[in-house]
Amino acid sequence: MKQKTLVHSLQAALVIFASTIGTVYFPLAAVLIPFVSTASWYVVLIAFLLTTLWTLLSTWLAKQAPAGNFGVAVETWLGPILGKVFLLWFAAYWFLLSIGVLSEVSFVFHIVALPATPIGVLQVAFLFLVIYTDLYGIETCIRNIQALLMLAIPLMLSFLLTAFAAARWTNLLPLLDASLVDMVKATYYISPYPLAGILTTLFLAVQVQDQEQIGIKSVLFHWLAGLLLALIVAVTIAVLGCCVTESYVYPTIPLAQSINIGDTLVGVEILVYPLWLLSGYIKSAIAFVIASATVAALFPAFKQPWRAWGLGLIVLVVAMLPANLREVGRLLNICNFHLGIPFYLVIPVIAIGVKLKKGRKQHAK
Amino acid sequence: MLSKITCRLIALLLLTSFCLVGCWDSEEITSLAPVVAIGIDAGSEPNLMRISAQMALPAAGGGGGAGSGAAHTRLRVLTVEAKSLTQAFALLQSRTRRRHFFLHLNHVVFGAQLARHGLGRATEALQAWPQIRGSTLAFVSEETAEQVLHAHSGIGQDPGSDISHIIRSVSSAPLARKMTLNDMINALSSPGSTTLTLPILGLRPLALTSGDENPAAGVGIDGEQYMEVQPKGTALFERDRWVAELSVRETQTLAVLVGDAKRGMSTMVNPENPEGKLAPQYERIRVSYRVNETAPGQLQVVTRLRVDIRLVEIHGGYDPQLSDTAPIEATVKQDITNRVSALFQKLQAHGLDSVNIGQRIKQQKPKLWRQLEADWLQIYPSVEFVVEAVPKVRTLGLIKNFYRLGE
Repeated sequence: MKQKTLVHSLQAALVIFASTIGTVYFPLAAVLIPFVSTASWYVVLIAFLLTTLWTLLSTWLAKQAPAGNFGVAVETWLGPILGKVFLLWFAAYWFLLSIGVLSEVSFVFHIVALPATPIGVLQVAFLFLVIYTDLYGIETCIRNIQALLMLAIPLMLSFLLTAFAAARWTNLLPLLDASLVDMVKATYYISPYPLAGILTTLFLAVQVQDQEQIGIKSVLFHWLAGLLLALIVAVTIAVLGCCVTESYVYPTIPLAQSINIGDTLVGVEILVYPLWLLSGYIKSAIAFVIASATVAALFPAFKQPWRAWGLGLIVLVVAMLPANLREVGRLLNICNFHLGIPFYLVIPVIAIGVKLKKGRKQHAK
Repeated sequence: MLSKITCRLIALLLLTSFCLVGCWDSEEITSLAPVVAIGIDAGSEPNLMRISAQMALPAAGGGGGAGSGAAHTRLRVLTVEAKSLTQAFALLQSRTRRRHFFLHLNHVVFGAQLARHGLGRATEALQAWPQIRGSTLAFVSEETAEQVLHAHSGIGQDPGSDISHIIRSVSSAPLARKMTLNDMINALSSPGSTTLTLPILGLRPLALTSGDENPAAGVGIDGEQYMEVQPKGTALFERDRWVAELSVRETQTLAVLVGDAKRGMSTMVNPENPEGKLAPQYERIRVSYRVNETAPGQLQVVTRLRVDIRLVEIHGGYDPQLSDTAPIEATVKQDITNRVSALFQKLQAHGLDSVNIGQRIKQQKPKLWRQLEADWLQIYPSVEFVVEAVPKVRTLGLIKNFYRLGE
């Protein structure tokens, strides 16, 4: 609780970007198409524009607390009792997300790339990496993600570029066919995706050295993530068409398999499999490290390395429970909709509370 | 306690190991049987499918040089009857020492009988196989798919590979409309859609003339006549059932109208000399559609084709300096209008929206489409098609005038 971690605002913004993108770009198009069909790509943009407010609120809240420690910041906003409840909830969200992503990544990689390798082997290997990252703390995790993004972003852009060549843009027509109700529904269903970035902002913003910069940078990277996701959705529909995209859980994989440019450029999935690994590691590592740091704020006696190994053991056991991808999806839905969505209500409420408290203090002075 | 460097090395090795195949499941290429084509025919009983797999077995230590060629390709076609694709692949595997590998799958051929009864079940069976790419080309056979897979090729080494090369270069030689498994799923998923078309593969006796193949005469050791594959037009589907077909010439028009081909050619009467002929090449064909509701429930679709003409062959003489290019453009305009109108008439007569006009209405006027969608197939035959061809002679080459044979 006393330990302070300070990072640069750009580093924090990069992590916000990485945790928002995560593995989201694999299923996103298939989630949206049943609601808004060809309008899916700009619904992503709308969702990210709307959620900008929560990003700004998170950075504003960070400025209202002493810099350096998330646990202390939460207690400053909410007091000791409510603060503990909030921290417990926050830890549960990230912990379950870490389990879900770890399980999802292992299942998908087993199905598409290593069918002969048992899922348990992949889960243990992944978990080992995640625990190892947590043992060295949040700063190491952030630098690690920075380094991996240097590999992941060129891979993603190369993949997108090849997909562009195979795109039939008329598949995106009609442009304005979705009803407002459907767009609202679709925005609700994808709202957990920007939320991961917002909660990362809330966690990291208090630990940033140059707090005056984090607001603008986190918003910029939040928009950048939205733009990239919208682009991926548009390209997926343009290459596969709505019906095919809708029929897969992760349409980005058949998208890569379908790219065939002049009989020469085929097998683009060779770019997607490492991307899946990197994205899975980045998302599960961020989730695990944030969960671990929040647990440390709740239970200061639960120190490293026991914390990482203890939480890791729970992750491993729970991640092995789902029998198939459908059950993993249910686990992630519980995390996203039952634990995640209420944060959209709670963050503004906290901000209003902090503002009122601040106002009263100034009035008293 | 391990040092930091050791821990980092272990972590790095673990991470990179995902990018490699595991030691326990590594396989040499010579232990695989790459399936390059799958044929699906109707089985001997209603509940059965007849599945043929064409495998190109890589020979251990094989190479080029003298004697290499068809004999060294080691192609093998196996056929089984089964209730499902899974069962068929299991049966096929039991007859092959090597493990089947589908990532080199080039095309899927559906038999005529199966296609006339409906391809829905076979397409459903193919969708979820993780190694079968959505970009795999799909064809129907004039007779059985198994025959097509057994046929030899006069050009390529794999039976059927030469035909898929022709199909892939469809924009320069629009002999068929390229269709993939993904295209099939998109066409069949829309309720009431009649937009599915597949290239027809026909067979004819192989007659080799170059002498670079063995046996050169196109017959096997026992005098068996080898057959080769050729495109025979396009099969038109009502939902998933093959109900009509287009000739190769009509297929060219269809490929242009759906945007798969940007080039084409034609032969027509020389406007300056009715005894002569004109064979212009069409380049940069741009097609656009405009949908008008002329009266409630009455639709007019204006198809506008802008074409750049390259003049390379004129019989009977023509002097562009004296006659200008207008007579040629007028003749080409008439030719394009006739061909496109004839195609639309044929499609309307069969009640088939193979050009996917419904999709174009949806793209341009989504509100109107919502009103029409349920009754689209009843409305479609009464749609008025107006063709506007806008040809422009762009290239005369370096010819000042096309000479006429002196008499």
